[in-house]
Amino acid sequence: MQMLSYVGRRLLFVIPQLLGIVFISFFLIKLIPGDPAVLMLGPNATQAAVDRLRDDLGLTKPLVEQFAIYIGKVLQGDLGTSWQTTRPVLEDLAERFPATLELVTLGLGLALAIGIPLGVAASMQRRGPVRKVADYYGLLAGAIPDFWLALVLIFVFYSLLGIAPAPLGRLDITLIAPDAVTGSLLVDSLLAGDIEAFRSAASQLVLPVLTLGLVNAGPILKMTQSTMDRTLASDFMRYAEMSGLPRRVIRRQAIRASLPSVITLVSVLFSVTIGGAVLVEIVFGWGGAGQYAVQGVLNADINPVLGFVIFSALLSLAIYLVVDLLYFALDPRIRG
Amino acid sequence: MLQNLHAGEGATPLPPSPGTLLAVQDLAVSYDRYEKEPVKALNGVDIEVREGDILGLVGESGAGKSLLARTIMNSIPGGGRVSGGRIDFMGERIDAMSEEQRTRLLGNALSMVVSNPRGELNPVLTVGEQIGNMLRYHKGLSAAAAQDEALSLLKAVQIPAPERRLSAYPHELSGGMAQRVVIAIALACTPRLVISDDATSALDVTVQMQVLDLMTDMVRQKGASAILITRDIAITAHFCNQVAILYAGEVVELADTDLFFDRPTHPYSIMLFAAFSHDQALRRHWTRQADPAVPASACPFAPRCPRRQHRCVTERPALRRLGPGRKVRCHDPVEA
Amino acid sequence: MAPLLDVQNLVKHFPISGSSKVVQALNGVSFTIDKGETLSLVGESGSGKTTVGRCVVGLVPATDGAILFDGEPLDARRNIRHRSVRGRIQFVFQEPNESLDPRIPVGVSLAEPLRHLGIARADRERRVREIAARIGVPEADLLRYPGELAGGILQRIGIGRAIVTRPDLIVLDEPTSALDPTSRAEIVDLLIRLQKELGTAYLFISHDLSTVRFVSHKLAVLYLGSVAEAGEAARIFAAPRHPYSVGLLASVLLPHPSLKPRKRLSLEGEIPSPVDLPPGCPLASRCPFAEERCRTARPAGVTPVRGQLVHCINHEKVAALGEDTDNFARFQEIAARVLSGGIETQETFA
Repeated sequence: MQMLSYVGRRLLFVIPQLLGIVFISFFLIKLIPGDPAVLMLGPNATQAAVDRLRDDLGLTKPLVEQFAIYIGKVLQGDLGTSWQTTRPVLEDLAERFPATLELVTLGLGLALAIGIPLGVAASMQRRGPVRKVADYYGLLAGAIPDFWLALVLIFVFYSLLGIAPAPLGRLDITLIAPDAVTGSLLVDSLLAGDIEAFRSAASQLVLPVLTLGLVNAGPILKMTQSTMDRTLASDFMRYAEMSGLPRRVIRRQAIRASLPSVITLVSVLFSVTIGGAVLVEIVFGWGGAGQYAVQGVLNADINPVLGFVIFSALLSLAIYLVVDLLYFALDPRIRG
Repeated sequence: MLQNLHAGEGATPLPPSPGTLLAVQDLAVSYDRYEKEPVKALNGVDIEVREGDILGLVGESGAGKSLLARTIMNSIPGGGRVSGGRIDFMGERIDAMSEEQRTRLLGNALSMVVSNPRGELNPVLTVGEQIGNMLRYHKGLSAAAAQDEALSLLKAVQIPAPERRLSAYPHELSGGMAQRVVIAIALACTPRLVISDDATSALDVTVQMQVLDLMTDMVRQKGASAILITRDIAITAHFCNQVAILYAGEVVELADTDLFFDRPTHPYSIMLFAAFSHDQALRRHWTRQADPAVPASACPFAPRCPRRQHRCVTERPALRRLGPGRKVRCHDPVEA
Repeated sequence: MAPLLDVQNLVKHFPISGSSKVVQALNGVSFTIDKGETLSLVGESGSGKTTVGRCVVGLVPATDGAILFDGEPLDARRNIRHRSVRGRIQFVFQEPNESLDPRIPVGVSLAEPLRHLGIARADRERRVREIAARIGVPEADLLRYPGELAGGILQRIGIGRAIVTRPDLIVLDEPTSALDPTSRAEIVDLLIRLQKELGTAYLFISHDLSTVRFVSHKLAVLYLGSVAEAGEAARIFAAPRHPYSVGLLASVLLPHPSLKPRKRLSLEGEIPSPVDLPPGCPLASRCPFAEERCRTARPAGVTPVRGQLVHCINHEKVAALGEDTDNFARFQEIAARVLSGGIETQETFA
């Protein structure tokens, strides 16, 4: 019951939070140099044509009025049109956002699967090989750029060894995508019973997921290890040791006590990587939302950028709400 | 009796005589320092606990009493290490405890009541779970049987509303209740020796009396022995049959309670006694600040001692028998 | 002559966030302190003694009741920063290493109150040196930081900081609880000496009854925000008339096995929470003499003996328990014997 009222209150806050985010983004984006009318019509356009277009687009109105118009449309579900793709932004994002989501979710999932066990093992073993490996890995992962790793992996597994498919997008170009239900190719192809599409989608995912996973495992490993170190040195863990509890019980209790920090880190990584995976998306021709937004910035195409901001803001807010609920479940002190 | 009374300093301690539950012989604990000499926090401590003894260990802050307790429990805080001497418990040597010894002995035959229970209990586990863990892992009880036993332990420690407390979390308990919980944990597996590390000084006076009565009653009922560590010498007068006085990491006096309080012989013991006197002149005589003219001496109390002699600076006094039931480390103790 | 401090029916309730309940910390506490005397407030957790101290210095506003200092009420307008009060009431905290700024040398902390009174630098320095001598802290230590000094010296500094403005009244909140018994005795000596030299009154808040017995002229025993018993300290220690006072005094341990506290009555259970106090006497749930009348209304104060005020309808039953042997006095005899032995001239060292 307590949780429901808590969730209710948080959801109420989402609206002003979003409004604030969009407000600031709107004005920041308007500051970007580049006149959309000029870019749309090309360098040979006449001044009159440019002026007329600017008028049509509503760019001559005061900024606050432009914002109000924009918000009005958003509330009706209209995120505007992208002049590059000539399609409604909502449609564009409905295709691209799930692509990024699928990639980032699997990538971070892999990062957790690598980072947490390594972090726990490195912490439980004060000295020894595991700790050294963890230290070096943490260093490397922080230093390696993700797009570089992506290119190296492509070079090794595609060019040299030939076991990976060509990095040309989410699906083999000869195949037709299954009907979009969730937006995730893996899920949709299973739902449609299309095994070939499933296999292709899965193999296209391997390298990009590996890239994101290997790079993000670094910070997760370090965070897990340092939190575990601190937990193991804390009073209540030493008390558990003095109570003669077996090693595995101590490890379990320490992991449980370290979880909140790791969860926080993962939630931040998730939000950041939604936009930050753009370089990996470009290398693999993924057609994801990050790419889309970057193109919008480069071409002063405002609607895609704002659309992306709204989508990822909603996603981040949802993630933080989930994290807070997890905290509720993990720590009785917060329940009061 | 300790074996090596008349052996000189630095002689190898021998295994203790049978019938001794715990024998600490010439125990030294040091902390390494970067590019400097290690600091000796315990400088040759000797104590002995026989079946049925309740030993009071008295010292001021920084004397090393908590450090001694934790060293016995294999949990030296802050990276110190045993640099000399030995600890024997029930015929086994435990100063370099193996993992197998830790899980077999600690919390089981040898347990500790800690002084900051709300900080040392696991914050995310209930009281019932924490008491239950001791019973499950040391006595092999099933989860259900462990809960039943935990409830009867809570009743034995006279905690109000014991059924409700089983599912309470540590932060929901008052100081007195949390103290009773850690007493229950320490006594759960019928220990042979219980060490109470200043477990009552943070409690209200009336609760302190209740808790001390409770601990000593239960210890006697179960035929166990105990070490009561405290800053307050008055507690040992009423709850212990043996008194040990600790100063600067050394035991300076060790005696039967009645003998000790009839006539303390070490100047430091007398100083502790004097703290309770209303006679300022007598108190001033025995309570002095360190005399800056006196260098760091072989007897650490020398700079503050009203009975200091030349040899106290150069020659460390040995712990010597001074009549039946008493040992003192002093060149010129006050004779009875 | 009007008392220096006159606390009348002090009430303080703390609201609990997210609930309509309140913590009933103080429920009508009254006492007076005359110039140059020491009144000790004793009690355990939840007694409200710390809250009284904070109300007197204005750290916490009272919910109801009055506090008169030197005849005039202390309130939001006339608080301890007011012209007529400034520097005359001071506070000493329990934990010296938490109440002294760790980033400035202790000598600077000592001078701070004088700076706020607008005293010139040369005068400040002179007074700090004078105070340091009074409290027995070597001048070299004034340059040190709190982290470098031991608890006993830090508490001397805390006291020094309080007396540097020559206050009329000092409120001391558990000044010795964090110290070893030896330091405790030194601080108590210091406080008594300062009172003799400077004529300062003390409101001494403590749960350490042996110390309290030594320093107090007057005593007020608090339980769950109400006064159980108050009056001359010596009388109350000799013959307590409230069941709670008896129980409290019986839990004082003296360092000799022959001086066992005689258990004349037993208070069952633990101290209940100060939220949702039932009407009537707060001790009713634990008192062996409790009856129906005790649960309906808080007992009024009666004076069975001059100089001793008790809030209990059954104080005669308590008196009938008989006199307790005065363990304190017996201990002093034992101590005198023990401490006198072994005083010989020591070989001088040089």
